[in-house]
Amino acid sequence: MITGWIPLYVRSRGVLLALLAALAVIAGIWLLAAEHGAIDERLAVITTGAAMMLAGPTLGTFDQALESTAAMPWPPRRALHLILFALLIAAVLAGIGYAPGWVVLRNCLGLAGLVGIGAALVGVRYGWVPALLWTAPQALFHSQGGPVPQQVLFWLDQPAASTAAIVTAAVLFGLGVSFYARRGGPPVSAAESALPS
Amino acid sequence: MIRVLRIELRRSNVPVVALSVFLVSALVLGLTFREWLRDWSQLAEMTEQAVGLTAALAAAGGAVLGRREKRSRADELFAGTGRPAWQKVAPTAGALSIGLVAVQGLILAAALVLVRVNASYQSYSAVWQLGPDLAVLAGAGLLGLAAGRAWSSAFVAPGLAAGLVLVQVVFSASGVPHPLSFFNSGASTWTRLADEVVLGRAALGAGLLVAGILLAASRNWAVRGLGAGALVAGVAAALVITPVQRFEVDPAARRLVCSEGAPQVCVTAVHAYALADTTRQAREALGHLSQLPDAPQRAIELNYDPVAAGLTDTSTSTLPWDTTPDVAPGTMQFELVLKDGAATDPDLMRSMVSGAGASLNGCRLDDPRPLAVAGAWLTDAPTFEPISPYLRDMPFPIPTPPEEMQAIGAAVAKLRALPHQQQVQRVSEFREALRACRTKGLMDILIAPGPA
Repeated sequence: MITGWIPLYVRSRGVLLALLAALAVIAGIWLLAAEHGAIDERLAVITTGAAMMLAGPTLGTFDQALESTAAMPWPPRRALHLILFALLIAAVLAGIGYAPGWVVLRNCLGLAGLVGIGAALVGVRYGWVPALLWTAPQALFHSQGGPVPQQVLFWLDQPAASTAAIVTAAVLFGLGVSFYARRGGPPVSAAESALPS
Repeated sequence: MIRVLRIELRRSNVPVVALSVFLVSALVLGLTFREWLRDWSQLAEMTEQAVGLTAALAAAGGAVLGRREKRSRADELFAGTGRPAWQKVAPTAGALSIGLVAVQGLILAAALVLVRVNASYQSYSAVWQLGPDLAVLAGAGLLGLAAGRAWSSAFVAPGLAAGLVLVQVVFSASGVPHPLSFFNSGASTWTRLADEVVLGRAALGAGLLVAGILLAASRNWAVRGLGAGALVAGVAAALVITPVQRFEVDPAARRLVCSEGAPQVCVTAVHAYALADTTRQAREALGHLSQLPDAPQRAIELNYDPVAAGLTDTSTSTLPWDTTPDVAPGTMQFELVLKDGAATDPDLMRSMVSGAGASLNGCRLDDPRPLAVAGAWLTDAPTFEPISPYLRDMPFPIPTPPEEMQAIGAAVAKLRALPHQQQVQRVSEFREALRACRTKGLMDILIAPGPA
């Protein structure tokens, strides 16, 4: 039973496509820009952001209304989906050498929370926008250290030891996963759901 | 047509996209408000950055809209009507373009008015940039629309947005200014946006617009090829026309504006709004300096410009070491640091008397303590916070440790213990050493035992 459910779930959300696209971005940027086994920190931040943004469209299916009628415990499944996606991306990024493992894990989990918050609040269609809006300035205006509010604002840029960055990522992760797990997303109109994908 | 446009504006995602673009632009310009309020160059730089971010959002918004068109199979319905292809896409493309141009145009126009009112020197290159910026934004939206109509995948919108930002980060991380980058810093106080940059952006905007319209409206490969050609041509023209150094020296911005009365104090035209307070502080400093023989009678603002000096990376190379300023005898230079567009430099008087008025002569002065001793002596102060020449505009100044302040105070007391004539003689000799770039043993000149 469960072996049949997982492939259906993964397929209905385009998870494999998202993962393949994320892997292509990660590998492509590494091949193009890495020098001497290391990559610019700004590129590492935007690549992490881009990979995690691709999780956004996977957080819902094209017929939410129909799916919600299934008598299944959705919250743990949704939480697991978000966490596993983040862990997979983090493992790939850390394995290739984008950044130290702890930094990559912190950033991926924090961004997963941000994508989850977006999906729960504005839906799957625009769920990735908050992640884009917070990642882009951090990659473009890269800033390490400084006062605590500055470290919170640029949490993706901070080194592993930054408490402000760890707390920010933890708060985003906690809020995002719990919010998305409970809510899923805003209701989608029947007319919208009926459209072919 | 107007009615159709109005319906499209209401029923599509254009209001959401326009609101996002408005918020991002407002955030970028709002957070940097004090930097550009009196400075056209800074405004040009910030509006470019805002457009660099909002273009990614516009492309993503267009892709979501195009996906809706594709999913709803509206084109199947339209295909049954005997109208040309461009008429079928015109309401959607028009609504998206109008929404984007209206919000971005509104916010940029408001910024232009604010600078026009508050800046004391007017340079209109940032105004000409407005049109190309809006064309780039609308073009990005239309290209997104075309992409969404071509591929209805939910990944197109985030992929486009992330891809566009990624390209900008690649340019930015390379460390070499790129003509297509919207995040090259390069503006400094006495610069203006080069006309070629505006032309290059116009070419890019035109290419994106034409490509977006053709690709969104096309039903055959010939038109699609034409659209792709327009995109390539626009990008190529922008690459050829846009100079790497986007800001050029503006001689009119460096023109001196002087106070009435004597002693004369002059600031550059861009800082004319701060002339009143600068004159007050500079005259006070000149008064202190008049205790020395051959004292300066006039003070002018140092207008060293890294762009004029040929330095390409203006963000880190602002130190005019080893450049000898061309100053007339009896005239001293001062550095005016107007943080966040303030009309006053709170440390101006102190910076002018530090080093007895000779610290901005182009020589590297690594030890600011003897400069502070001379400053304390001139102002009759017990001690004096050291001021490093050319480093006063650091965002986070490092406070001087108390023991260093005490050491400076002790040196000042030692200098004052000498006969008055000898004190004057030593400070004068110290000033002449600075003027001649003899930067070793400066503290000895002031306080070492024996004849001066």
